[in-house]
Amino acid sequence: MLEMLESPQFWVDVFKIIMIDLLLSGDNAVVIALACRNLPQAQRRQGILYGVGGAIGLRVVLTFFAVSLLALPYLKVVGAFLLLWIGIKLILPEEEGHGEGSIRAEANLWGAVKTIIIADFVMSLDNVLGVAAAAKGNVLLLVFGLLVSIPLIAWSSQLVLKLIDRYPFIIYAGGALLGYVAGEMLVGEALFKSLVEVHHHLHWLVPGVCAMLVLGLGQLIASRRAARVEVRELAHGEVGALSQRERETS
Amino acid sequence: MKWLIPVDGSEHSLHAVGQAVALAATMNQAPQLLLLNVQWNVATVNVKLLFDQQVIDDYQREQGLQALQGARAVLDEAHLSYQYHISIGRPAEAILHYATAQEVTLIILGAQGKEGLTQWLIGSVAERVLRLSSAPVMVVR
Repeated sequence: MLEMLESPQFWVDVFKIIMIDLLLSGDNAVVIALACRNLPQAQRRQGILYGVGGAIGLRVVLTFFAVSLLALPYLKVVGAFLLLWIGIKLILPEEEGHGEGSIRAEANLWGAVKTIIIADFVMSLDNVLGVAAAAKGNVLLLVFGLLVSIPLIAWSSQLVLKLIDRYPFIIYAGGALLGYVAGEMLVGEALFKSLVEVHHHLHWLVPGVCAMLVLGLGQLIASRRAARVEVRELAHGEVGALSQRERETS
Repeated sequence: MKWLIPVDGSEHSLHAVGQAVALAATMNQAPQLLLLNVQWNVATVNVKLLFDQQVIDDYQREQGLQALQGARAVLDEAHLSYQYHISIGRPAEAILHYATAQEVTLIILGAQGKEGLTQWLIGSVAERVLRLSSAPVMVVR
């Protein structure tokens, strides 16, 4: 295990996992905050705590589920295509349109916890698949990936949001990374083993091509979509010095 | 006179509000005060998939009102009338957008005193507003 820590490949994988976690876990904390919104103040903390706990538990189960599934023949090919799509999705600008989800902010504790766990199930699939692919079956890396994603589930940090806003290339780097990892997964598929052994250059060629594919397709689809609206007005109010009691809301 | 004071609920934005109040007191004619809070758009694809827009808007409005609270308290105490506004978007861009729409004559905003890692990486909103605004900008530190 110690010699593993000395190999540069290990640290490259660690870096990949941190990147994937950061880019694919960003909105988790927002979902938790939304789900707990209507809880009475006293229960809100509890709701968040249970929700985060449930989400982490679910993620552990999903991760190991993903790893054992990926060991089956053909499924790596499926996983690779899913990853390509996740990468493209990351690059695409957000579509206009209103939230149309049916989940309400629950007013009771268990309702909120249930909401968080359902939401996390939907949201963590991307992340789990990405981390499982980057870890390539290495348990230490898998656990590391899980550990990194936990604070991201629990605490909303707008740092990632701000960084992406300032340096948009992060999104493209992330998309390319997901494509690369998808390619690695494809090369790792047992079906292609004999082929890859003969043509050794496929080890870097396939991931490279997949990374390019994500960037190209992402760019192509993005160029057909209208740019998103930059600023939206949310609320407006007025307080006159003489009518302080009329605390309006809008 | 129309003054825009963007606030984010932080210490230094409150400081800017205090300065604006002090400055307003020296004026013959009370300026029209506009408070603005900008919320980052949190409605990602996943969030929109799961929640109704109403829930998302309510949440962001609540966050915005919370950020405005301190500044409103200062103005209330000074018995000044004001308007407040919450926008969603990128902070500097939303501030400039609102300033243009309202034709403000002065933007007063607080700047973080210390240069942290975050600031070094991202740059400050104040800097960006200062660089891009066509209205006069007063940065309080």
